[in-house]
Amino acid sequence: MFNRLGEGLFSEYTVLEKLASSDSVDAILLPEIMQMQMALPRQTRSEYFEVWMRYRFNFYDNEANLIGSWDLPAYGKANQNDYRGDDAGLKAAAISACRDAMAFFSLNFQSEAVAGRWAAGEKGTPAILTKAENTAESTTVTTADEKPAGDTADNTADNTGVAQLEAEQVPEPVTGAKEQETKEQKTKVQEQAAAIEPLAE
Amino acid sequence: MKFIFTLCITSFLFGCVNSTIQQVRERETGIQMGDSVVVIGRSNRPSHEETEINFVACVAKDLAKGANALNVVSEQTFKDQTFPWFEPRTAPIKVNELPKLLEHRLLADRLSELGIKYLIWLDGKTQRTSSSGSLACSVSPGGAGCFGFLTWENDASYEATIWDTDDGKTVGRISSDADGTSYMPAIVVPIPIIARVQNNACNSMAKQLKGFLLNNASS
Repeated sequence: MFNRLGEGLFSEYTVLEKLASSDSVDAILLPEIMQMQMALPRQTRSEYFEVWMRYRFNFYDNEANLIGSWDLPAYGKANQNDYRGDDAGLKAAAISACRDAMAFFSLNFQSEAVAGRWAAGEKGTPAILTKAENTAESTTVTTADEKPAGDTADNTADNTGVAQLEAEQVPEPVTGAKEQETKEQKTKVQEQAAAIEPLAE
Repeated sequence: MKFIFTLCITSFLFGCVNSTIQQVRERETGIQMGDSVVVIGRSNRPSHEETEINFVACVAKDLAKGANALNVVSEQTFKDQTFPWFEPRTAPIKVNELPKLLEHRLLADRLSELGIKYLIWLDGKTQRTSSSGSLACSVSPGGAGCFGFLTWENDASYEATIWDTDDGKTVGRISSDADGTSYMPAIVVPIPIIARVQNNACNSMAKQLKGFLLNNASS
């Protein structure tokens, strides 16, 4: 889905394995699924499988400094009469929600202020100031690369007030089952949306 | 002989369906060589209703076969090729939104590539309006069997609105209504006698649409 979005929106794009400073790109975009809810027809007493998603697009400069974020709500539904079984119905509703998110992103990208600043080449705030903020907002990529909270506190004990703030605000890294669950959920949704073909430039 | 017997049994097992077709023509139509049409189900927000995918597929399939078959682009192909302009969030609701939409060069080019001359929007659904009776089945070491009588009535109501992509105007509307009662008597073996309401509405709609688009005198 994101490959097709990249093809449609940008003249050139590449997929990075992790969020890191890179001279080979102009800017970095990190999508995350922040929230996902689903409902079955028997729960809502309707004919529809429904999926609600909230994407967050984090805009970084090429030094991995955060410029800003953009939250996108998305919704998809699928009629139970069109599909056999819960799996097929939910998959169709999830694909519909992913398409909805990408449609919203494509159409509003130019008018979104933070996206405009990002596309214009604005630089983000240096990492020392935003590190704590980034980690608090993100539950995926940044946590994998962050130092553990204890290390940060040790290293910054003699530092300035800014560093102290950083140590206090860094939450526990997302590890083990929760991290695995988050990754699996993202992978599953992305796989389900693989059939989407956005309008290519 | 075997064929005639099968035919008789098949005819007997389908219940009766009453269908009504109405057509309103607002402009002249016609299909040139290379022109295509696309049949799309309505699913705009915030409406919670959607036209069944199999009805949309049935109408598209019927338009593309038989005498005077039309070039039909499938709904999924059309939505993928024109993404994101015909998603539930973004699809035009009224025909007067179409010219503005076609101001987007990429979209206009893509429609031109696909050769889309007419957009056919389908709205409506098939509903079960009533049901009654009861049927019980039992299984024992000596055998199994059912006894009882079930009946239900389905009502299909659909409307097709046809837009001309060249001038961005509605060229006409066709409505197809059908209703029928299905029965299932059971004396040891249940015998379903199904009224194919949705299928009937689909066939009538496709036949009328074909005549309408080709501008046949009879339509």
